Amino acid sequence: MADANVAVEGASRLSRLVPLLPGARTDSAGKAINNLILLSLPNEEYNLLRPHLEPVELPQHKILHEPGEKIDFVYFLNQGMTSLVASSVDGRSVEVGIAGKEGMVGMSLTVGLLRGTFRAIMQMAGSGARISAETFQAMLPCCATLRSQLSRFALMQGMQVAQLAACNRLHDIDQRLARWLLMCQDRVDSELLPLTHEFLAQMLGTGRPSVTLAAGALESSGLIENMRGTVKVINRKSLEQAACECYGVIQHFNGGLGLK
Amino acid sequence: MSEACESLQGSGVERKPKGKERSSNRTDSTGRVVQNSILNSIPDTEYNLLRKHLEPVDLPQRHILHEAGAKVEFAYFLNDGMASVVVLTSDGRSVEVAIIGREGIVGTPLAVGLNRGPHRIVMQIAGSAVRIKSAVLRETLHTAPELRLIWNRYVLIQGLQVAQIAACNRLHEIEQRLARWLLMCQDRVETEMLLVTHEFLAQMLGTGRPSVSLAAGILQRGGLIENVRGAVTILDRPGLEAASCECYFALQRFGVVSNSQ
Repeated sequence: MADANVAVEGASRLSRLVPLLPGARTDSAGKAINNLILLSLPNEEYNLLRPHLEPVELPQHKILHEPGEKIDFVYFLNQGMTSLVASSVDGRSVEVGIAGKEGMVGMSLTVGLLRGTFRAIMQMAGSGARISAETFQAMLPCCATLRSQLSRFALMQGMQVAQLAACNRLHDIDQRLARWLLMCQDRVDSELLPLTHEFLAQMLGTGRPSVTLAAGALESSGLIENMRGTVKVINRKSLEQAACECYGVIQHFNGGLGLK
Repeated sequence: MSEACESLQGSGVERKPKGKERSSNRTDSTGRVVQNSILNSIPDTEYNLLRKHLEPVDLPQRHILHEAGAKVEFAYFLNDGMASVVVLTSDGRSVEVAIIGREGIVGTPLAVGLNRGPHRIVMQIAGSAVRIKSAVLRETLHTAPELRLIWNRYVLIQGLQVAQIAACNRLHEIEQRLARWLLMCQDRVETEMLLVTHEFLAQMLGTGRPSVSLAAGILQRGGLIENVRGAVTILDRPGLEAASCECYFALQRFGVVSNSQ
C-alpha cells in the first residue's frame, strides 16, 4: 500500500541513528548486543545503561509480562520475537502487537504506567538484555536519544497494531495465517517454525479447528508442510501471495525501524 | 548521575503527571476559549509559544482532517466533537482503529519527525479545534519539553487503545461492538440522539450494513436504543453497558489515564 510506503520514507531519514554494527556493544556480562535501539544510542547514554543490562535467555513461550501485574523489567531483545496478547474474559486471546530486536518490551513504563496491559510472551525463542524497572525509570531522564528512539518505536508499533486491528476484522483466516507465518519466518531465518496449531489459534484469535483447516489448505497448495508441533515453509513467494496486504504494510513499518 | 543528567531533570519522563489540568481560561490566537486537555495541561511558557499560531477551525461531521498517506499539514487539538482513525484496505473496506476527542491530538506522527500518516482521520461527531501548521509545531516542540512529554504519553496510550480495539474486532460479536461504539460516541456528545447512519456504523465497525441493521434491531427490541432515520437514540444506557463487551470499560480506563495527565 502506498500509504505505508510514504510513512516509512519519512522514518528512514530518522534511521541515521543506527551507526553501530551488531556486536559492537556488549552488555554487563560481555555478551554482544544486537538490539537496534541500544546500538543507536550515543556512547554516554549507552555507558549509563550498560552496567545495568543483564543478559537473559528467552525460551519460546516464556512470559515476560502478565496483564495487570507490576512490570519488574524492561527487555531489549537481541533476537527472537515477543507477542503482545490480549485476552477476553471468556479466556479467548489474540495477538495485538509484536516486538523484536527493533524495539523494547515494557513500553508502558516510558510514560510511568507501572503495570502492563497485555501479556508479553516469547513467540520465537531468543535472547536479550533486561534492566530493572526502577533503574530504567531513573535512567530515562538522562537519556534523550533513548527517549526519542522509544517514542518513535511507540508510534511505529501503534501503526502496526492499527493494521492488525483492521486485519483481525477484515481478512480471512487463510490470509491471516499466511501473514502470520511470514512475519514469524522473517525473525528466525529458518523454514522450520516450531508452532502448534493450538498456539496459532491463540495468536489469531480463532479456534484450533479453523487453524488446522486453513493450514491444511495452505499445505494442499504446496506452500507449507504441517509437521508435529512445527510448520515448515516450502514456498515463500506463494505464501506472500496468499497473505493479505497487511503483511506488506507491516513490513514497511518494520523497515522504518531499521529491520530488513 | 552525571551533570548532563541533572540538567535534563526538567524534562524527566519519570516525573509524576501534573495533578489537574487547569480550568480553561486559555484562548487561541483569535481569543476563543481552548478546551483541549493537552493544551490546558502544558505550562504557561510553552502555551505562550504556541498561542499565536493556534488557528480556530470548525469541524463539521465527515470532515476529513487527514487523508491516508497524505502529508500532515496541520496538527489539530480538538475542543469538542470526536474524530475516528480509520484503516482503509485496497478493496475499499474500512474499519475504525482509534478515536480522538478533546483528550488528544490529531497528527501524532509529527512528534517523531514523520511527515505523513498512514490512516484516514475523519470527524465522526462535529466539533471544533485549534490547528497549528506542522512546520511551526515541529519548531516549537524543540523548546517545549513538557508538551513533548505529554505528546509521547498520548502516543503510547493511543497505542493501548488501538490494541484493545484490535482484540475487540477479532473476539467480540457485532451486537457487543455496536453497543460499545454507541456508548463511546455518547460519552463525547452528552445527548441521547447520535446522528449516525447504519452505513456509517458499518464502515466504522468493519462489517456490512445489513449486519449493523440486524444488530441494531436486536438492541432496539431489547429496549436499549431506537433506530430513527439517520440517527440512533439511546434509551437505556445501563442496559447498553451490559450489552457491550468489556472493551468499553477497558477503553474508558485508557481515556481516564490520558485525561488525568
